[in-house]
Amino acid sequence: MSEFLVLGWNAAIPEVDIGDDIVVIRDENDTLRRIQVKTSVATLRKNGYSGQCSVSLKYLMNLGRSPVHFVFLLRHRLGWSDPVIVRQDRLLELVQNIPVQKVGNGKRTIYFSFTEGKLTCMGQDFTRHVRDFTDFPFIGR
Amino acid sequence: MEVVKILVSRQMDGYAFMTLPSTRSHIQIVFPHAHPCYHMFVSYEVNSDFESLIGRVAAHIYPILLGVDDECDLEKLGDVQFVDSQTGDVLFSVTPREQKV
Repeated sequence: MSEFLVLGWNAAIPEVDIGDDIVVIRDENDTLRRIQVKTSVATLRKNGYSGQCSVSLKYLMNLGRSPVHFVFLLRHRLGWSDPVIVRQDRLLELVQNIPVQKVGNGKRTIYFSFTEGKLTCMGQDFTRHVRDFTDFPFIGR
Repeated sequence: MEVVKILVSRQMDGYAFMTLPSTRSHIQIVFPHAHPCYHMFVSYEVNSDFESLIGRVAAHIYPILLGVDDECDLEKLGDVQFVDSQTGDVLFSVTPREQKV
C-alpha cells in the first residue's frame, strides 16, 4: 500500500473480503484500480530464487468495472522480492494458454523464478512486470 | 482473418468487455495504425432492459475496443465473437463485412 501512497494514489483495504485486497484510487478523477496481493515463501536457487502463488480462476475470469492488478511478492532470505505487477488480461491469457498446475478450489498455480535479474513466469520472460507501475503513474500531492 | 474474440462479463450494473494481449497484438499486426484498448465498461441502470440491446450495442463496441474504425479495415475483419469470460460460451457473433456500423 505504501508504494501506491508514495506515487500519490490513495489506498484502502475493503472491509469485506470479496477478492480485492486493496483498492487504489486516484482521488482527483475517481480512477479506481483493484489490487489482489499474492505472497509466497521463496526457495533459494543457484543464481536466484523461485516461488509459486495460486490464483482463483473464477476471480481471474470475472471482468469487472475496473480490471484487477495482481501483485506477487516472494519472501526470500534477504527480504521481499520486488513486486511483480501483472494486469488481469495478461495473467488470464497466460493461464489459458499454458498448462499451469491446477490446485484445489478452482485455483491455478503461477510459478516465478528470479535468476540473475531476470524474472521468468511459466517459461515466459516477465522481467518487464517487475515493479511495473505503468498503470499507476506518479501523481504527487 | 482469424476469429477475433472479445471477452464479456455481465455485472450488476453493466457489461465489461476485454481483449487479451494476443488479440491486441494480432490486430496491431494486421492494422498497424490501430490502437486497440484492453477494457471497457458499458454501464446501465440496474434492472434496465439493456440485456435485450447488448447484441446491437456490440456492433458499436468492437470498433472502439479493437481501435479499428475505418470501414475498409473493418471489412477485413473476420468474425468477431463475444465470449462469456466465465463459461467460454459464444454469446453472439458479428461479421463486420456483412454489417454497416
